[in-house]
Amino acid sequence: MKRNLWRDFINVVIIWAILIPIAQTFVFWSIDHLWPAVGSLQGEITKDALTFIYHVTVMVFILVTVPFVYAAIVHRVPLDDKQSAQIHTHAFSPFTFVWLGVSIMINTVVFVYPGMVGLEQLWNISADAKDPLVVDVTGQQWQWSFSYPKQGIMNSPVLEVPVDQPIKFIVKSDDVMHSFWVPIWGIKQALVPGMTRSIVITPTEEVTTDQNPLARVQCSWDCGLGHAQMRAVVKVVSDKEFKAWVASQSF
Amino acid sequence: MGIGVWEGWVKPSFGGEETWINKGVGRYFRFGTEAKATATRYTIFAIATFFIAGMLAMAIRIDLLSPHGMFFANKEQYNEAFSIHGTLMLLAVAALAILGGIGNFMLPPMIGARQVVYPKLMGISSWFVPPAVIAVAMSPMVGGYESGWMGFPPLSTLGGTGIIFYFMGGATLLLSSWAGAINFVATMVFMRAKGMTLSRVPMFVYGIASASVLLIIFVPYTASAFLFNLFDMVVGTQFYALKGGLTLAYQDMFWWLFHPEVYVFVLPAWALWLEIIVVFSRRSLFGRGWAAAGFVGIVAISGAVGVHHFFTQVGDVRLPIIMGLTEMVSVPTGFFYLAAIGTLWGGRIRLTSPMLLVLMSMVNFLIGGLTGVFNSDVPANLQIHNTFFVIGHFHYTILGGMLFTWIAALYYYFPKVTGRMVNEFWAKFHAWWFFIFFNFTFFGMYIVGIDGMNRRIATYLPYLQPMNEWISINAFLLGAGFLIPLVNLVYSYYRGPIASTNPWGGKTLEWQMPSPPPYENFPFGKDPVVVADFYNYEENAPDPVIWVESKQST
Ligand code: HEM
Ligand SMILES: [Cu+2]
Ligand SMILES: [Cu+2]
Repeated sequence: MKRNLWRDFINVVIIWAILIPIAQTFVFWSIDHLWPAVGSLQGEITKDALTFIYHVTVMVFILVTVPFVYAAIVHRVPLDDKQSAQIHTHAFSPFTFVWLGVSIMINTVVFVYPGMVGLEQLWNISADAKDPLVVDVTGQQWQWSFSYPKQGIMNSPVLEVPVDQPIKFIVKSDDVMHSFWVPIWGIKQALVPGMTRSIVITPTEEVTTDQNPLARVQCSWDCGLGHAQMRAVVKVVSDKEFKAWVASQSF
Repeated sequence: MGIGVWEGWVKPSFGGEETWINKGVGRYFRFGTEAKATATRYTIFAIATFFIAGMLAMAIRIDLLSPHGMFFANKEQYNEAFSIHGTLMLLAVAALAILGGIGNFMLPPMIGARQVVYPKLMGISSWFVPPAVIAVAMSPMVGGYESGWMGFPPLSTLGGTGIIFYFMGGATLLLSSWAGAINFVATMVFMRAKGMTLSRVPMFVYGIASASVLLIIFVPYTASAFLFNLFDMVVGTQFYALKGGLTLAYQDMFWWLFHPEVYVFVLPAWALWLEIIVVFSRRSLFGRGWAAAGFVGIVAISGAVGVHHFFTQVGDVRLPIIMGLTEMVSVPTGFFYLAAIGTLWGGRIRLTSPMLLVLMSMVNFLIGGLTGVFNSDVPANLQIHNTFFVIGHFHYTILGGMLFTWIAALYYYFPKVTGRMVNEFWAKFHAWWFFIFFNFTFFGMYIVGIDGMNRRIATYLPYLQPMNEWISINAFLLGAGFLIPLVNLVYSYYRGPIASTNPWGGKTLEWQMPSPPPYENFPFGKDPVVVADFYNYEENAPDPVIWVESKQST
């Protein structure tokens, strides 16, 4: 029995050509319909990164699995077969160079976009944020507190912020590691005890924890017993409402 | 009689005569020096630990059926459960199953050796495992620990006193792999048969060699970090007592080993893919040089990328460098797929249970590896770090990639080790069961992670419940399925059909041993000399080994 490996290869190409568009359509659909809401500029950047990599990896998955699953099905022989496959070791050497080239290329692409480009964008938004609203975030076992030094608000248990403005969160912890994460904002920053770190986030969506549970502060670094419940309520409101809230807080 | 310490170690140290009993079932319970008994011990310890840690996983999943937790009495117990689960699975199952169990058994015969260089070191290293596993598993009795399998201070030093057992147990298990690695390297350097040149050594030997090199270089850092932290707690030193930089210093020392450690897990598994694929495709190994380059590339890069666990902790120029380096690892990783696919393509593929499991583990690892690209991308990482997405990712690579291959190797070598065949039907049945419920369970974890569930939480918000129920139910089916191979292996050990010496038709030297292999692997009087490639399956390929009269008499 002689195999026609070129015909098999054409079959693989046909299967790729069928599966890849179907899978990519599914990826688009799932991002539109299943992906959780995103409510900040930074979150758009991280979501773009996730989406792009999702497209690329689904394609790579199909490119890699089809040939070997195909071989496992079509080139199968009965278990008591004793013949050797008799193919020369160095057959298909162009294949290896195509493989090498493609894998380096995909790597480079993913490194540049979304990697470097996304990082650059994140850094630029922080650098461009002139005179942002400053919020001091303190994490301690097991609660959050938020202070607004310029507004004179100390230790609010609720994080209330205005929409469409860059906000600089200065995060600190005095006990153990925590991590400041508002899932809907799509980005997090770890709190290292004894160190001060900051992160700029620009919410773009008016939303409260009641409306969407993704809009919550959630500690995302294991900090012991109360870690799971180390949450805080988030309210992203209009500038006017925010000013009113500030006024009601300061006596 | 005795347990072997006196006859084997103490007495000869004082000039007495060394007296060993390396026969019968007894050798598995003694401090013996025989590689195969040590390997069997490692395998049994790994299986037992897998079941202990697996039961904890089941408990975690029962708890997560409800947003408020429904199994553990309190959150502390939940935290202890995932901490112990992770510690045991990684340090006592993933790190030792293939290296200790398959490696100690098969590496010496594969290079044509009758014995290893340091049989005593190897014999004792396996006995480090049970006390360490018991200490970690029993830690709740002395206060438990809730800082996960990483034991990061300051949480670890503030939390339960059981962390002392974690640091001691962890350091002991690391020492066990370290001693094993030294023995492997020495054995590979000094004990190779004649003609076993670098271009002829089997792939599995490359896999063990690379894993051992990583262990030898990197274990000391992390083992020291464990010990420093332990000293901080018990004798009041101040290594990590300060906050800030030193908190991160521990994390640095921790990942210094534990990033390379993931390659310690998978490199031997990838090597086994190639071993098994060649045999069941009856096709010459494709791209051997590329696979070798893959080992070298990964060993070279993997030590430098530990900071990819720090993307949310640091915010400077290290980010792009580490991102680039981490993503580069995918290139040498791809070489294993290249070699595997090139070999399968056009082969005469016999889908036996080991082969099936290898193919499945190629699919699973691919998913795990590709989701690693999400983690390695800094912007994406800032969202998914410390969520269930990461839990999905590493279970895909370790359980889906490495442990599927371990089970493949258990089926593959079972006839050689015991002289009997496993039941193919049930082996395949379990393979499919495992594959389906594994994917149902752990793919769900990617989804809850994206939906905003972070890791290590005993309670969660109600909107996440449906997905958690799906994961838990599939996890129970997955877990229950492990009774199948357990029964299959035990039953086949006593009742399986008698295996021939070389039931799969492998060409590498371990298949030249009788089944089960005698005390020093090969029958006395003849020594192997390697004269050709083991992976040449062309027609009229020369026999890779000839046997010559031994020089020394026995
Ligand atoms: C048998 C099926 C398994 C199930 C259902 C399972 C389930 C889980 C779950 C739900 C968690 C997350 C706990 C949390 O963050 O709250 C977890 C953590 C973990 N699992 Fe598994 N697991 C299984 C097998 C394994 C295996 C085979 C390994 C490795 C060899 C492993 C290694 C780990 C590690 C390292 C962690 C992290 C622990 C930590 O956060 O410190 N698991 N597992
Ligand atoms: Cu926390
Ligand atoms: Cu890593």
